[in-house]
Amino acid sequence: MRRLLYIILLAGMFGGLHAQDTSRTVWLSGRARGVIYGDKYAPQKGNDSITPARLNSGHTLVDLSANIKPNDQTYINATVRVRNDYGGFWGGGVTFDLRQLYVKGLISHVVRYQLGDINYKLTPYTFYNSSERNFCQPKIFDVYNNMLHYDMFYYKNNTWRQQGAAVDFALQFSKLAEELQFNFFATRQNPTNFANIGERIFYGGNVTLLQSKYLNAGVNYAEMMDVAGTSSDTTLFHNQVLTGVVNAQYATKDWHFVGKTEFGNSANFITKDTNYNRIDDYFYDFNGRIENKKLGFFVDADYKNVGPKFRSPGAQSLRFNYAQTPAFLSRYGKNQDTRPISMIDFLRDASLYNYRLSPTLQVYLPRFGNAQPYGTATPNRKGYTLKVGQKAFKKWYDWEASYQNLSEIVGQGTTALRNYKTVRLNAEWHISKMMKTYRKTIDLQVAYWNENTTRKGNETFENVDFTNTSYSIGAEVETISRLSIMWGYMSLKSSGFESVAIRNSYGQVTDFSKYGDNISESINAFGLKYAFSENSSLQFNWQHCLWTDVNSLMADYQFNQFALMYNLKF
Amino acid sequence: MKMKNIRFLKLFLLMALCWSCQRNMDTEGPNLVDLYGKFAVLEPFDVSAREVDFSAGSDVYFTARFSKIVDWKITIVGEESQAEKIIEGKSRAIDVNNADWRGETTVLPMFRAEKCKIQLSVANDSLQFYDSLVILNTRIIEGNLVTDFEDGFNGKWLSFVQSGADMSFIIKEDSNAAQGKHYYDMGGKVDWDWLIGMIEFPADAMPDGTFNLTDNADNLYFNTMLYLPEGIVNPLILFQFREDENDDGNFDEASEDMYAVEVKAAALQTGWNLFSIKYSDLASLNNGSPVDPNGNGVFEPNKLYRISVLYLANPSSGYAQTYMDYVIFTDKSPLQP
Repeated sequence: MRRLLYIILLAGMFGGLHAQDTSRTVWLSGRARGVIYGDKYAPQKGNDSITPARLNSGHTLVDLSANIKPNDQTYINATVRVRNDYGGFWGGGVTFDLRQLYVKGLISHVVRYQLGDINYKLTPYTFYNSSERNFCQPKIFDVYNNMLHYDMFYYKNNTWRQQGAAVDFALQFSKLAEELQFNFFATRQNPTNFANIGERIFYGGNVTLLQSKYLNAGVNYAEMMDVAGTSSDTTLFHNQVLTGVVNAQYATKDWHFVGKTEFGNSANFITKDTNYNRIDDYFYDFNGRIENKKLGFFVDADYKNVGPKFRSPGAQSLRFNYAQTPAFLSRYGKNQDTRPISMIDFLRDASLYNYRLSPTLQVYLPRFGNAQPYGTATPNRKGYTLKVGQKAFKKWYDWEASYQNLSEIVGQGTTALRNYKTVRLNAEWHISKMMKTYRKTIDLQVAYWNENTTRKGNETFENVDFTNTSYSIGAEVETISRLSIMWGYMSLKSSGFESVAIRNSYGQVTDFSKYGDNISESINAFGLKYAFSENSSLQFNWQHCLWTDVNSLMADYQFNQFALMYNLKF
Repeated sequence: MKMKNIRFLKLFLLMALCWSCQRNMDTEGPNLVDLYGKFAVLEPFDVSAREVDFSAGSDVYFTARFSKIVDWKITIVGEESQAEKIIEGKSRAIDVNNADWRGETTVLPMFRAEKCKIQLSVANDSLQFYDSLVILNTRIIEGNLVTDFEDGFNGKWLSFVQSGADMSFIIKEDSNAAQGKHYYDMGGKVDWDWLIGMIEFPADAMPDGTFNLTDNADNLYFNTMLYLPEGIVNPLILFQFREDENDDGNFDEASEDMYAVEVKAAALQTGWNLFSIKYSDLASLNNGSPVDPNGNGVFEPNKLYRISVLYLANPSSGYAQTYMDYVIFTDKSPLQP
């Protein structure tokens, strides 16, 4: 057997930096941003003389990256962020932060490594940064998400930003199989305080065998653990997840067939803690997909079963911190109520986002997604998902429709099981592509999401009936060169009754809180966007937000907002 | 796809199927019926026996069954002694596992051979259930009894009483006793000295001439019951334990250990109190402050020579009174009355 060591490139590891000219030994790159927000708050009915009606904020920032390539096999990136919040003249309010620092390179042209800040993922059940948003959103609002996600290091490939080290290499074979890939990582979750908080690390990796272009299989392992002896606390948390993955595919001239499965188990235990009993559980997920290459049409079917005690911090941690109150207009109304999280906070409030993994299941709000609040790896779910769609047919349009039917595996407080039915539709028409004479962009987006949770028991108090419905419509029309007019509308309505599990510090369900919602909200936005180039744009948005509690338990409010946002990547 | 690919795929699918795991299918969290269901009594409250002889090692237990988990409380009150036993729990069923009674007391005095009233109450519900039983004989408490004052004043005990006002250092017989019918009443007013009176129990007053205690001070507890009358706030009771380290039949203040413990009125509630202390938690005291013991500094309860009970009060604080009953050493744990 011929043995060769082979280098595996981590796709997307370096984001926009790939585009840089790496022939130089030292060069600068980065991003710059200037944002101005103007918000006018008003109650929908009556007056509110307590809450400030107008709020203005904004900032400018520059992320300056020093790219250093001391030799062909080493690359160093250090990014410094200079930020100035508006109102901080002559140095006041200016912050300097080291945003990113890492070293990567090759050892003997064989082993690839990266030290410092790393973006990493394995699979949706082991280490995966699931999207925070279920409600529908047109493209006019993408500019907000792009800024937040960039700040929080959320990338489209669902990696988590961690600090630690990663190593990758591969072996190549001439018989039986083509290649054996090895990927390992180790990250630090929290440092010891040299007293009662110990060092916690998260490490793991995968070994993938590329048997042929038709088949590959692998094993993934992820463990979060406290390091013994790093504090006076003798109890040590451990979470271990071991999964197997098999992917098979076959293609003809017109058709592409894909079959995927992931299966595995987890163990969660705390040594020397008599109050916590070890929990073990397993999951499996089978997926099949048929795609017509010519039409771009596909059918996708998935069945999964994720045990109620399956725990995987790397895959189940939430981006969004639902337990926190919004930083923007935290209290409002005559009674100065705490303002509940709303859609606008997903777009604007960076303080509500996490960048750390949570060892236990975090709090979530059914209003923003109840079927799979912890992503694909949400425990206590079994059922199927069917998808049909068409990808970029003649570049005219993309669309995808899905139906998901999940249920609990064990009940919460009752043997009656919840059922989750979800319908989703996303479609985008590139109308100008269908026109022979018009070369500029005319895009239309439509999306719909409906999620219904039900539980029927023998007693009335066992019943649950909770529905989320969201839809969005958006349009972008390029008028004169590079200047686009944008419009978008999105809404979210939640109503019904749910019984939400309250968990203790171990993540065990100790009680239930009654969750009754009848809330409707919408954002209607109009914008102008001028794209100076692919890497820089100036966008002005005006938007009107309405938030209504149909049950009148909380005061209804509205915002008139404008935002001027300049983004540059260099 | 070639045959070797298919074999490979089969192998992995087989691994997936053989991923042998067992799953606990218990529901998550507390039962909703317990949280939100209607309360109903499925089996009425009952007592396993109407008469019980605790001295023979018998027990009695209570039973009931409800439609949901509730906080329940069983209160047993001695009609004569007014002793109370309280058994509490949170469950759907009351049975021998969570409501067994072997004659212990929660609120002093201790039970006597008497008729008892029993009451079951359920939190957040107005229902009350009543029953009764008769104690034929009280339970036998294991330990080294110094005295329960039932046999009168032992001639070998030593007593000193100041010539103050309303002095009372006597054994009384009435229904106020914490155990049995007798207790020791210490009381008086001495406006020139802290000491009001004292009583001493020398080892040679015991039937064997010794307290018959273990040498393991970590496993031995001194217990007594103290009664603070309503409105009395000034007593200080000093217990002293003298050890005859050299076994010469005497105690030498200068070369042998004397350990002590103070009980202040502030540590007592009105009525009967159980005072217990591990022998190894005693200290050598001088005017209430810890000092080095004069002897070998080793706790040697097996060489205990004399127990002294000094009844003290601030001379300016007025009349002081405290009852004492049931002085006993127990092994391994404090007295369970």
